[in-house]
Amino acid sequence: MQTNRIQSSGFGNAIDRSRPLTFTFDGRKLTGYSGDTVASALLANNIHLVGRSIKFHRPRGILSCGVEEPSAIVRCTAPGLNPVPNLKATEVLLSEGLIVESQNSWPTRNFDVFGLLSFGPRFLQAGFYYKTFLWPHFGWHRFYEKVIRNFAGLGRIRTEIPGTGGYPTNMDQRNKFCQVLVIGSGPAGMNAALVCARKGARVVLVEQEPTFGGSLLWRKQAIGNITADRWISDALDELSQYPHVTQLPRTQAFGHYDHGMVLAYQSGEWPDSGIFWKIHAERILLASGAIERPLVFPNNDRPGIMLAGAVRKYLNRYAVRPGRRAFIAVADDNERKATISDCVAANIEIAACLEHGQQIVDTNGRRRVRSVSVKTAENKIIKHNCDLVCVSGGWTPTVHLAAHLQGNLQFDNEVQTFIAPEHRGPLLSVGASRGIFNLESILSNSEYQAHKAMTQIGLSGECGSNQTAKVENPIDRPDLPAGSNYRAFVDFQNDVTAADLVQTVSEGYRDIELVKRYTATGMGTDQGKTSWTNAIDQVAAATGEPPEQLAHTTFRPPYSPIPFAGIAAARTGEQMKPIRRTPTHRVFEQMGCVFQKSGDWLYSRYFPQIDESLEQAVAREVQAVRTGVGFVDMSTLGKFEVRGQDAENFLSRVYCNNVSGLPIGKIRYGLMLREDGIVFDDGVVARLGDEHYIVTATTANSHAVWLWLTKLAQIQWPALDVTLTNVSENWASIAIAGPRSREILGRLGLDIDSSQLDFPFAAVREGRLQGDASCRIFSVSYSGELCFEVNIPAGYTSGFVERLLEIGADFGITPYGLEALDVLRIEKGHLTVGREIDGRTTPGDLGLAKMVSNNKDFIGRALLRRPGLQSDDRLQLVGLTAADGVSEIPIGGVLAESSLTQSSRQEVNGYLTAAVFSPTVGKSIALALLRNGHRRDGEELWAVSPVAGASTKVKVGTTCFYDASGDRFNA
Amino acid sequence: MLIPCPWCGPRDEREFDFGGSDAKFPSIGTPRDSTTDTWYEAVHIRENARGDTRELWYHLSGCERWICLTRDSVTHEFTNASTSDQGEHPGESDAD
Repeated sequence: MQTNRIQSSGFGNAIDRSRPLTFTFDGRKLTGYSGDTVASALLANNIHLVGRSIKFHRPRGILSCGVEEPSAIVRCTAPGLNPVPNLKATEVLLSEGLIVESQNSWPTRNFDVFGLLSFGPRFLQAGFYYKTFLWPHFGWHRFYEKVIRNFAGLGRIRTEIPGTGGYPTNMDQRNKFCQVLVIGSGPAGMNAALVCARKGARVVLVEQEPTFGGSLLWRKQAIGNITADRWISDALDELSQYPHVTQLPRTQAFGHYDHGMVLAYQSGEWPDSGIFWKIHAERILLASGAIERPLVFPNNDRPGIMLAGAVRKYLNRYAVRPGRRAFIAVADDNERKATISDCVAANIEIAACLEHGQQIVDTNGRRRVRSVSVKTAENKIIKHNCDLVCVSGGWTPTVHLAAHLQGNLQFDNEVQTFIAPEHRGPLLSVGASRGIFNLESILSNSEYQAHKAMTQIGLSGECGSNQTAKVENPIDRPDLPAGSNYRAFVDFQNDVTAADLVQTVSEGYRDIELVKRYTATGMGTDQGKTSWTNAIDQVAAATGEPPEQLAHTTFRPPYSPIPFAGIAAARTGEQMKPIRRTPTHRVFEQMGCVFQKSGDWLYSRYFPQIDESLEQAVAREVQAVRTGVGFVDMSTLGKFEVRGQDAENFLSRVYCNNVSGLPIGKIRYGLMLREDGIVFDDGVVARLGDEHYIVTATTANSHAVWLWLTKLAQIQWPALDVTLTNVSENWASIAIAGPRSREILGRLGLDIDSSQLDFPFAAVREGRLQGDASCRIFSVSYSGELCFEVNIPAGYTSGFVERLLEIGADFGITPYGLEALDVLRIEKGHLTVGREIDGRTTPGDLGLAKMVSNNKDFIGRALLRRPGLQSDDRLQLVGLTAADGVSEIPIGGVLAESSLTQSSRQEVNGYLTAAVFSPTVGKSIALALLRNGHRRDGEELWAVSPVAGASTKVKVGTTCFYDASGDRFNA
Repeated sequence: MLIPCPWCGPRDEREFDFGGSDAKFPSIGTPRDSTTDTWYEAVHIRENARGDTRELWYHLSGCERWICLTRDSVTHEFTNASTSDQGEHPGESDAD
């Protein structure tokens, strides 16, 4: 039974009485109408007590009728969905079957155990947690936190329905481009949109509520001789005729960013859909209106104490009468008259009004306000019985978006709050959001600002005279009664009282940003929309500084909470971070390959046979390469073509070793330094023609090397004639490795001679595969065996691999993956980016000092000479073997002089970069960066892993464990 | 931010990679320039100006070119966009 619903059809332009809805609140079945918010439906059912406050667990009701709501925070869900906590009852639109629950109450909303906190003397004053739980120092983690978490915090995330199924997922993200974005559709926004649309501008009009019209919808002021409702519908009709105007209802512009970008969130059907808009506008007209501020007086937080404007909105928009007998405490004279008139029209009895010179000294009523005690100018206390208190301390312009881009607001003495100064950016404030509250002035101001915007973007506008901030009657806000006002709330959501602010200032926190952080004023889901101006006033009074001297806290996006799902939209999983697959992927999949993620790539890890473990497969693959032949996918390497007259000169500057004078058809290993002398990347440089090279980069650095090379060519040395082309994805690369690889090469049907003389190590040949696909073959070796890297056009990969398997069957050709590749390279002491080339090592550290050319200049040469990079005391790359030849060297260990001990701390002299069991050498081997390692050959020390709880005695040696002379790849 | 690419027009910042300050390296191969001190200055000593800064952006999802821009570090206003190797706006030469 909706006892508070007004039956007269003259009220309730937001609701559709022909469409009743049912919903539940804390298990109780209730009804409302389509168009209701949860708050209006609860009030219609005479429910004021909605939840408990965060700190004191005081009963709290519905203060406002919109986005500013600090108190009526609920958890909502629909059948089959996980509940969404911390929603404002004043924002959630009612839908059939909606399940609404109160928060922060235990065991029930009506009887809350912790509500006792609000009795007795001051208990949880400002800074309570900081001061109380300091001792003993371990106490917070051991016990305080566990207890406090039970009754602190706002809302609970609950996941009754596992996975993402129970969460809103139907989110979209869209871009919108326009000349003028109008934010807000009250009189200012609507009028501005009309002016711009008539001029032919592409306009986007956003409105946070489902219906356009803003305050006109409930203030009911006539415009000229036209009623407000009529004016709105005429305006919307006209706007709808223009194809260049887009209307976005239920859309909240929540952030203003550089260069005219505004982010907005459009909520769809609750709760599982919404659109995240990126609106790029040439000009932004901010017509976001104003938010009413409550009054600060003792016990001003009881359910039934509501903002006057909210009461009028509930009456006129929702036909809901929030009380039967109202006490009116409205500071502005005109607003007071309008409030009384609306209340009387809705048959609400007026208990009394707070007159000038009077103060509210207390209120009563446990779960709903019952009476107000007023001190008259003659110091008499009068108690007024009532079940509704309409409060208003004036209106605060909604300036947030104007302040998002470092826009410092200025205190306006007339409006008595901060408003946006004239901006030099694309945003112009219009109407109430710039402190203009009179309807006629709002209309003329919006016309002026709209014309100004038109002129700025080159559409002719006729600028009339401007209208500045005007308040008809100076607002006379009642003073707080003297005494310690520890139940006079300034911030309802965070339970911050006037006394807290006084205490905070007296403790030395005078800066408004510090006050905010010490007390939590202005934090939370409402971000202090109803409290920030009152807080500034209180701090100003406490510090003795006038409010214009005080700054305001920083406004940051989002203006109001928006769902993370909207920010992410479709960009989840692979749509957020696509997985890159190499050209071999499909054929490898058929071969039973096990893949692993490596950076962006899904890379072949190993190729298990039936009933084979990882270790067994890797040992088999390694042995095949060492004794027969194997092949591995190398397609992820970066491959860059370098052409031009100065190509050789360019490469000579880029690599620290000598790469000039390379004959056509030959390859050289190349080591690239950063400009500070640290090793950046390694690869090969192959000369294909007179002015034509191809260089490779490691998989991990592929993109970084490309950026580096292009930057050098375009920015640092634009005079060099060099052209770079990234062909990484054009060529697939299959390395055929092993003593029998040359035999395989001979049977591939290449039109090049593969005999040793014509194809020695470190050479490159171009040709065709079976007279068809062009191919490039590089004789380079990462595995240490004779090896040919065959590059073929990526589209030919599957066929090539199948052919390779066919030809190689007689040789027992074995595909191998990343695991075996790693074992093979560790056995040879070859380097890997991210392990040995870790952004800290120099060529000298890696044992490559001799490679660094003394005969030329190159990137990194000058700074590599710095003494710190030449010192002996650096971590240097060494090889390690288990001293006893049997033990396993722990992966990820550090190097110390003694074994792992329980008690003593050890000095660490280096760390392992790789450790593996080598099937070839027959024991555990490792690479490590060891302090002064190059001079410690033959020494024994300990590889210690506190994580694994293991330590192994190791012997320092060279980094190459296998075929140190390099005979094998010259075979 | 909208970044004015001289080749592609104003484009969203998500299309770009930031490339740091537009600091010129000492010239390579000239012994007088290529000392540790001059390189140290060029690599490690940065202005970090409040106001106009010269910086590089790589238009990854566009022309794949490096461009030089002057950005106001306070307001993020871009002025004077140029291509890296021409040192002039390509549109300007086209317009003649």
